[in-house]
Amino acid sequence: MTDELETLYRARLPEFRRVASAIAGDRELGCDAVQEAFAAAVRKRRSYRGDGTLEAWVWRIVVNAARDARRRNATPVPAVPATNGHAPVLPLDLLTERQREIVFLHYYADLDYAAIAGALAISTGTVGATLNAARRTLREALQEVET
Amino acid sequence: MNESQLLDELVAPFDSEPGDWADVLRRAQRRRPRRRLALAAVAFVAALATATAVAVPLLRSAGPKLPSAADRRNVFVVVQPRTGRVLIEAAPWKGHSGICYLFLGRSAGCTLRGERKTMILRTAGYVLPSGRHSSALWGYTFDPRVASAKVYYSDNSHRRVPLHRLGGRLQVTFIGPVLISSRGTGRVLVYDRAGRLIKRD
Repeated sequence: MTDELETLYRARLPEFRRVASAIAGDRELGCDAVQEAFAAAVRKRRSYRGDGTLEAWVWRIVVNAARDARRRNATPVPAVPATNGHAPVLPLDLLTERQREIVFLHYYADLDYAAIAGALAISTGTVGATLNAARRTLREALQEVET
Repeated sequence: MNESQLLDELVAPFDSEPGDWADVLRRAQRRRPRRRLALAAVAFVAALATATAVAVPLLRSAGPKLPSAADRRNVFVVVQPRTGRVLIEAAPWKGHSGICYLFLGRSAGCTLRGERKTMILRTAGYVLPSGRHSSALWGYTFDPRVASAKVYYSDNSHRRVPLHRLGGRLQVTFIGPVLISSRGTGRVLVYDRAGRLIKRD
């Protein structure tokens, strides 16, 4: 089992790091989260019962570790919306946490719906609907109207 | 910019490298300390300004900060000369063509640059030295044509709005602030050097 984890680590390290960095909000935090996640996977390898793929099981641990890293290093919420609704925001801040994570897993790790569903413990239908909604929001946000 | 470009700018790809599996194994053997539950008590202090000439936010101790996406090696500040109060903090937005800002210690965010982009915003929650509540009209523009701005109040009076030009890597002009409680609603109009209207709030 440890050998399989090492194989997965070496094969997909750039993708794990990229997704974790996006969730954690920082490259160093993301890389550290990946190390911690794999360490946790090694420690609790006996709890993997074969429900779903090993990679999906590890992705779940990586996502949780990145979330923890972000929470531990959270900065104050930056934006106070103006009353006229014109407060500029980062497009990704328009997404919910789940939408962002699904976008990151899909784009950075090239995971399909089933793999994302396994990583986040949700249904493939939810993955599809959430990803579509997220992409629609990003498209609209990126079409800025020049004054 | 499209979705792919946005995501590529957010997190650049990592190089293919073997990583440090030995470090993973070392961490796996370390006992993790049990997390304690910590109770955090937060106290909010409402500050009413008496000595400064500029309205201050209602809540001072938990206000926003310049976003973490700002390039803190290149922070510009605009200071009110009479009081020394920092009105605006601004810095380039890391990895983007744009800026991050903190306005009057209250409104913070990041925005993409646009050649003719001018935004006028309204932020509530200020208290004047008199104790009256107020809103602030303020904004920013990347439009190099902008030369002046005025605020027009509901009683048809008007006055000039200060502009603060930041050059270097920012190339942005901040507009205001002006307070609008004492004369009802206000509207900001922005003009070029010839006095032609460029943007109205």
